[in-house]
Amino acid sequence: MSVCALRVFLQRAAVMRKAAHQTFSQARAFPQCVTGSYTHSRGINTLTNSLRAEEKVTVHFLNRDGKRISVKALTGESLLDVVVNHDLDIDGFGACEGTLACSTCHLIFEEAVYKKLGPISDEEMDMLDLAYGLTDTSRLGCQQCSFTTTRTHNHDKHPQYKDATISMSKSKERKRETEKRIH
Amino acid sequence: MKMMRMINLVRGSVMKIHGLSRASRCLAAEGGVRGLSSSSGPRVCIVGGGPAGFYTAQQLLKARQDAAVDVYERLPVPFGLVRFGVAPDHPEVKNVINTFTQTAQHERCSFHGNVNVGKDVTIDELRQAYHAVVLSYGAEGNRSMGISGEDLPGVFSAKDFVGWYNGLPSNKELRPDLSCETAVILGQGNVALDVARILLAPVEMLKETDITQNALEALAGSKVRRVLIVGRRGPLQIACTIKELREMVNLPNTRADMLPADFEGIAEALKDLPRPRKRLTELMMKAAKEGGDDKAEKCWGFRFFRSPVEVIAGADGKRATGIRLALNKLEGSGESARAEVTGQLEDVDCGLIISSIGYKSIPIDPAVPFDPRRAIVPNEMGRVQDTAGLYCSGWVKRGPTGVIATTMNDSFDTARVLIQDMEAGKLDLSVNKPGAQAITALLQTRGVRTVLFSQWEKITAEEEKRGKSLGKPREKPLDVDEMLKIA
Repeated sequence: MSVCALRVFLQRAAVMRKAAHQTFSQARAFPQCVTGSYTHSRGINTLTNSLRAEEKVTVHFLNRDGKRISVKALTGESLLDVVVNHDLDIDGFGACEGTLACSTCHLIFEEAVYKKLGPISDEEMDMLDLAYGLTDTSRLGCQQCSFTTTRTHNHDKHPQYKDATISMSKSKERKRETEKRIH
Repeated sequence: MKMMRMINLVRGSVMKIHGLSRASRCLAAEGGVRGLSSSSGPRVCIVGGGPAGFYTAQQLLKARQDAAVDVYERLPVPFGLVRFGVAPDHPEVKNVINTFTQTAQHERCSFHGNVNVGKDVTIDELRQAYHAVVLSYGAEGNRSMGISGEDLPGVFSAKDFVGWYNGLPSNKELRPDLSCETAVILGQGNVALDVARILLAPVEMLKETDITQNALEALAGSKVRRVLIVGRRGPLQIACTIKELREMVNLPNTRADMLPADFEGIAEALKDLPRPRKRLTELMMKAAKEGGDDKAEKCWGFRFFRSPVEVIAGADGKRATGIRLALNKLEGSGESARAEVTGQLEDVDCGLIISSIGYKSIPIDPAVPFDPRRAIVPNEMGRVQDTAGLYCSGWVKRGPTGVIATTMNDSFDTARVLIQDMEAGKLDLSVNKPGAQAITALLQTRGVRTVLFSQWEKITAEEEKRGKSLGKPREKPLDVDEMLKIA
């Protein structure tokens, strides 16, 4: 059976973690999004000065073969949306179209990014449990939104946007053929 | 509408090639003849229009821009178990139909329903007309318990029961008697839990799903109040997954009723379990301990370490009134633990017995190798043994387990292997193959009426229309003749 997990790493090669249990991330407030009904409610990101819905963040998807797909996503866009809206060539991603009925949008995040993700619901964890190649920093892409984190330098008045890099250990990619949009 | 779109495109200043080819495909599809696609590319035939068939087709079409793929399906309607297996209260799982629809509408893909491969057309005839044939026909049979009384009224396979509430034509006459208080389900996989849930779910909830009207009416009059889900081994070997278990726990007006003895030693084993198994076991233990509202009218429970040995018939010998179970003990632990007989027996009174111990593939054609022990087509990575140009994907290749995503990955694998063989010259693509044109002509001479995808679209529109008047997403026609009439 071929793997179907996408691995995240933050601009460097990821290391698969082997810890025994799931770590929950802190419920930091940052843009919430709800897949399906598509309501964007604005939270306050403690790390950014200001957030506008049009702000973009670069998301990198890294395939297990090493191939990298980079896109600019809108903050608040779910990672499933990012794949669909940009028509990314990722095989079989999001089969249930973001309804928590499959695990094909499984993503593995780098620990630092993973810790910033919102709390995981029982329903998400139930489906995540079925994902191939489950790790301690795995989540389902349809439930995660793109967000920005900033790092301000002393000399620099402008916030630096840190890119999130998500790697995929899926070995195949496919052009998403569906034109159906989640929102 | 399609003609108008084409005219507008011609009038417009920019002609999208995509639009043009879609229009030509529409015209071609209407005519039932492969239109403008190249006749020199590889032609692949897929037997079976369920998830395996469509996912395999999808990959093939993507990987080779010159490939034409034809999907043959026995029923007039596509999608296999997504339509007839997935529970009516799991509509999100059926979203994959959207991606299959896109594949079927692809200009290089054509769907041919109401074609019984093995009877209307042989595998050899398909192999002559195509460069490659992929068997994706799944598992239409079921494993039998092999116990006496199995054929008595009141005993059903889960496959048939599920087919009944999902509108599978061959199960429309099932008429299960739901006048008993207790139902016993043998097997503890997700199908068993689906059956239990449908038996106990409130009718108010079911009536908004695409469950068939006759099943809904039968369930509305059901007297079943207690469902036992029986497995040979222990809680740590249970085959269901947590989502389905959580749905049982959350069923309104029901309580869980389990035996504490079945859970001895389980708490100690928890810490060493991988997370998915650990969470599942914890939820089960919680349900067993807390039970639920005592005033609840209905109850369900797992019974572990029990194997069916005989169906007990009533005094007149005419129907099932109970089941005799043998008590087991476990040898070994974890996934590979084995159930061993102890010699003890237990009788359970019940009027409905559903055996949910697995689907089973059957041989389709004497020309195709078949492994009767494993009930699959013997293959190496999807290449059928000793038969060049013949492949398989899905349950007929690996056995009848796994969710749609499992089948998806498996189908992608078979497609990749097929493409590799094309590129390595293992399939002779220099020979021109007639494909659907030859097969359609052959079927016509045999009086077989094929159903095209555009005709399925008429059927689904009619289903949705009928459903609307009943407050449901769709109402499925129950027999093939009716489907053909609408098409």
